[in-house]
Amino acid sequence: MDKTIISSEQLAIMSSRIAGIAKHMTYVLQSSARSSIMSGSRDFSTAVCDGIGDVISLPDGLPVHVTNMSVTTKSFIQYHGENFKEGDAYLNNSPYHGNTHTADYTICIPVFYEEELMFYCTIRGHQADVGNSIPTTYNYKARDIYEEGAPVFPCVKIQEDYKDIEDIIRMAKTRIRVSDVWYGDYLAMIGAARIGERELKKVIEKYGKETVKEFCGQWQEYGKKRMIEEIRKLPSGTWSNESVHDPIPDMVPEGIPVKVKVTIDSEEGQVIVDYTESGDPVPCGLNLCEATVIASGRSGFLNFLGMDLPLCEGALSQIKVKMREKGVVGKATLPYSSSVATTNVADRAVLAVQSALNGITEDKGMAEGALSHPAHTAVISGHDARYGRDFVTQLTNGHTGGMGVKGHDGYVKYHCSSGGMSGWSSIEQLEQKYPILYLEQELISDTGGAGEWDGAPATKAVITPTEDEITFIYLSDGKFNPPKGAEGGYNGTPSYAAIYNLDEGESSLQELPMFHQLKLKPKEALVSKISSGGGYGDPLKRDPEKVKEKVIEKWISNKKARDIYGVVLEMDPIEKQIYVNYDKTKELRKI
Amino acid sequence: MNLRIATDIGGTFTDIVVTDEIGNVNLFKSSTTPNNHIEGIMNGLQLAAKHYNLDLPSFMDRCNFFCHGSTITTNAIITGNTAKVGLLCTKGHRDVLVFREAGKDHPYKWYFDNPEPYVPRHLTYSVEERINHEGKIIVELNESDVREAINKFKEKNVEIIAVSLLWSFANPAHEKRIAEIIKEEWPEARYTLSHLVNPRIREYGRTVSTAINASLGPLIHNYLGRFKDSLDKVNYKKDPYLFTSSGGLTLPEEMMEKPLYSLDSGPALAPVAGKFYADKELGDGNVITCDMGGTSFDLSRVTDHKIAVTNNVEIADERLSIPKVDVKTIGAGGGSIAWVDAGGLIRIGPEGAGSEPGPACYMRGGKRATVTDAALVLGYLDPNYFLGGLMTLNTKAAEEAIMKSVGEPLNLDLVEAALTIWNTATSIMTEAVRDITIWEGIDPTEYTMVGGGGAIGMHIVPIVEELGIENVIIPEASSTLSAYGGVIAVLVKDFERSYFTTTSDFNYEEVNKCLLELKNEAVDFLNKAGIPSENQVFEFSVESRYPFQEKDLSFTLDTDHFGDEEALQKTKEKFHDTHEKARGSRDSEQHVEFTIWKVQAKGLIPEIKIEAEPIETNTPSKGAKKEDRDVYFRDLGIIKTPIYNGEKLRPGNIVYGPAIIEGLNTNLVIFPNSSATITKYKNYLLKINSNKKTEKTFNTHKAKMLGNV
Repeated sequence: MDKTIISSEQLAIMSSRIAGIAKHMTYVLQSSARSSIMSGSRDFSTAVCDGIGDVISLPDGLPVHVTNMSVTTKSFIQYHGENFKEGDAYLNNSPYHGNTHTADYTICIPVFYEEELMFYCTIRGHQADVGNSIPTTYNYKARDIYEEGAPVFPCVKIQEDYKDIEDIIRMAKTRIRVSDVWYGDYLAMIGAARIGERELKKVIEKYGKETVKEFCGQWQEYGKKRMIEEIRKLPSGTWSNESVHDPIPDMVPEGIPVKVKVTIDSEEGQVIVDYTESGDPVPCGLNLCEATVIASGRSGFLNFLGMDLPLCEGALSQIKVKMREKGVVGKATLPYSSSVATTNVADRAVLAVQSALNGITEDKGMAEGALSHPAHTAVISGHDARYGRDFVTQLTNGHTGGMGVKGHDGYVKYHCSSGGMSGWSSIEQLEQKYPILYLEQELISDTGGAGEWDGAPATKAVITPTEDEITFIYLSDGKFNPPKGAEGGYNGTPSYAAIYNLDEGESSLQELPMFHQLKLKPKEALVSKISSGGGYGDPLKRDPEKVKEKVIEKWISNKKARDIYGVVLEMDPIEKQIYVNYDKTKELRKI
Repeated sequence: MNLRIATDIGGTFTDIVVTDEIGNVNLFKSSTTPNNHIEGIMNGLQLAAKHYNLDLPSFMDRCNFFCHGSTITTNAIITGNTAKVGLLCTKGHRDVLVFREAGKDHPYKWYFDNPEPYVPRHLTYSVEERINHEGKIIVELNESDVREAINKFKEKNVEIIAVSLLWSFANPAHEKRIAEIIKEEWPEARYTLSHLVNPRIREYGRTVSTAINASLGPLIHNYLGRFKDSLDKVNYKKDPYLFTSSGGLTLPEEMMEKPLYSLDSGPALAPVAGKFYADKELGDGNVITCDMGGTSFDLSRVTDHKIAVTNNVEIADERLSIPKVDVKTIGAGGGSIAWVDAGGLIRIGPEGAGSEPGPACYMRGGKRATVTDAALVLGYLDPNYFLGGLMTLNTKAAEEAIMKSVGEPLNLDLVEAALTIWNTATSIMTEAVRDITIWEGIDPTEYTMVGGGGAIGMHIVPIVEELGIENVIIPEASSTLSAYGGVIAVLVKDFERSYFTTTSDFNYEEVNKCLLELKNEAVDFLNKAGIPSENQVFEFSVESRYPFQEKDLSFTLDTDHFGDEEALQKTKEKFHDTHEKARGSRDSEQHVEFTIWKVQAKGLIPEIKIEAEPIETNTPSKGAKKEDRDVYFRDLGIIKTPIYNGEKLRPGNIVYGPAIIEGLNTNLVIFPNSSATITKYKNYLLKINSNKKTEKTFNTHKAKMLGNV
């Protein structure tokens, strides 16, 4: 029989149809999820994988979730391969079995047509609680998986014949805090995946199995070709870089260096990101795992490219990621904990790659962006007397500080592991849902790392409980090793955390540790600042008009304009407008 | 006989629709005059008056209903040509407009400039005050902060002040006090308060809508003032009705108060027309309306005779949380540019050729292939009868552009390349229809499609065939669908109130009070507008969710009074059903939270009584036939195809595909498996064979491969 041939037109039409299905799943999940982390912050991703588990379509996914989805999906196949049945659903939250970290629940549904397995719908979402030994989904303190405490589901069957396996649900509900929200989010994920299944079946019905299979193959080829074309525009060579996660007293007192070598093979159109020179696993929850090391390496390079490329395994597999079988930036190994595998060290692993290649082309380059989990993005928990209910959720607002990049200032609402995709909840909605009050959430002037292209400023947040005591658990990197500037740009500013008593005022301010668990009472306020983005290029080369604009907008002070950028601004007494004194600026910039 | 007139200003043309009481419709188009839109409208009215053999004042004298839609506010926002706004906000929260609830659209996109806040930071002042989620004042308003800010605004020549404090909708005391202080400190200053513009939770949506509302205030005042003067001069003494984004009409006074609701009001009227036609022709209350322009494709839907509304409104990259007709717009139209990417994939848009330089076949300097060029090459368009002969198209230029942009890169011959462009564009439009139906849990096969825009008739058959939709109406007024929506629309205004309660501790008294107050406000409005009580209609709805959810779901209430537990249970069940249908899950054990109570007031305007024309024979008269032409259809290849003059077809005539019907304002491609019937109301009713599952949609027989992968 002749091979089914897919025309360019058909490839375009079928790919947009399948991307539409993955987006449809995203839409449904975001509208029906319960926790603010999944709904407001949209800390979840959806994917459609082909019959061998390779990703076909990843619409708007979070980088740390999705550039590794093939690994996770293949893990399900490894354990259940021959036994998949229509109506099954599987759950994986194990970093030791191809998942990211225990807080990310990955649901996988095999999609059958005429008894043949054609696709997988894979959805990964961050649950607000997963039953850790302390109320956080990032248990940085855990010396091993046993201290971490979350029930682990390594590719476990959770639905059969489209019905929950009640035993598993009951186990989870027993061990997880605020389990009705957990179950609501689970239902939202399953609901979305089932919609994906239904719609994919329609696609197969329409085009026939053989055409669909051929499409899958050709789409991967197309993705591969696009990626090769992009990589060929870069020179061959190997570049090394390092980014060091802050020390945590008593756990990793020296900090955690992430070392990377990035090799570009221009001719082959291939990139190798090599993390094997990074160290051994650490006795805390900050170890990465296979899925997040792959995601970090791939995201770092994709950040640098900054292109709109088809996100399928065919394209992604041109970025090979090497890691140790056992290492902090390697595969997860028992009993070490990978509770925090998606942020912190993972951020460092992304930043080390994205800024390793500066200077190799004219039009690209970037500094380091702000680091994860400032105190104001703590996981909070407690009892809400207003509604008589318990709550646990992660706050995600106030994550700013994008890196300066070649040609543009840093993106303000930056978040490394989500690629800036995650949203912020409205403060009013947060205050309605949880017994907290935001006294402040504003940009801090003079924080963005100066450069020809500035890093974006940090945000300060001040939060206080309104009724009862609330537990805050946070893990704020970036105080000792703030985001680095690049190509002559300045570093970003460090992160900061403190507490003060509202009645006594800011004179009662006391600085807090950066990795910390505390209970805040009403009248006590948490003051937190995230680190800010590093600048790119020499600030003395920055367009003085841009400096002026930022002064008018109060992002930077007149003093910084003069001291760091060498720009002299004066006030026109008649027009009452600030203008650049170019003569004085030229003089000042000569020195 | 009395006339109704609707005018709708578009980017290129200003549409004028004139109908009489028995439904005779005449369409007129004049060029839009960007510097003074009123001039274009008056030119159009002149044309219309001439058609009726009247001078303009006599023509307007016969008009008893005049309505108007314009894009001046939308354009003002896009071009930044709005008033200078000063924003007052709660201390500690001056960056609400910078943050915009975050979330960007592509994870690896970093080489771009940050979007600027709608009001710059140097014109944003915060004042000490704080209200909590229950509306309790926890920090008193610091009045000297307010006075200081107002004086700064004065100094900086701000044209209008927007006030948006946290939780203002729960307790407007501080906003009201600020209004008083503004009057004391700067009596002539204009201002806008957030709890009046958009009394909803979510500070960003409320603040940005208040700021936008403020920024349009001076512009709309000026425009409506001049507009009324111009109408006055030509003998039209009444207030014109104005299109609103709620899919209805409002009065100038209302619009000056809330110019926000003039944004995108044109597209919001298209489903009004769609609903009208589907009801008239087929008695169907489920309708998808699509309106195809040069580079945009607008979609909206009507379910059970109700136009779908959304709170997720995006204008110029700002996300406003105001209720508005749910119109989905994608960047695909006749002017969308076709290209081939580095991996050998055909792409359409998002770049468009606009009207200048336009498609290559316009011969105005456009060198890149567009969807219109493909239509010409495939024979769907007559180069000598474009826009009823207003313009001549150059087929050779289209051929060259197609070969260069698509044919050569993909190694396809001319027809294959044109077909590739054509089918891909059609599939993009098809996906957009899926987004507004299947995504919302709606089965499109249960809907009638109504098509608008001169070019829609060329794409509509493959779109509906793919979706399994059987009935399509291409109205006589297809090319001016929104304006036609205007002449049949009703007066409409939304009222809403935030009140939080749940099914587990439902506050009957407060909810009933809230509903009653809403109704009273609505009745007041309609009374003031002079709508007799028998023509007043009220539709109640509520926004609700499961605990902890952030995206509320709106559904209509079957009652305006909760008498007992049973009424509540019914409402709860309706929520579970709605949630399951739209969002794929049902959690019957959970209680339901209610957040916003709403009523839409409608003032019915006497209906146009369209008279049916006598049905004639099935077979079109010989005089309706034009000369056959070569047209390409998949599965048939290039064949000699009958061409009909739409002006000469009579009610009852049926045209079977393959055929083309050329009208003055529309061009219909009747594909081989479909037919077009001229209805008794002189619209086209297209029928598609339902036997399509076995058909191959793609032309695979000769398709060439992707580059050399």
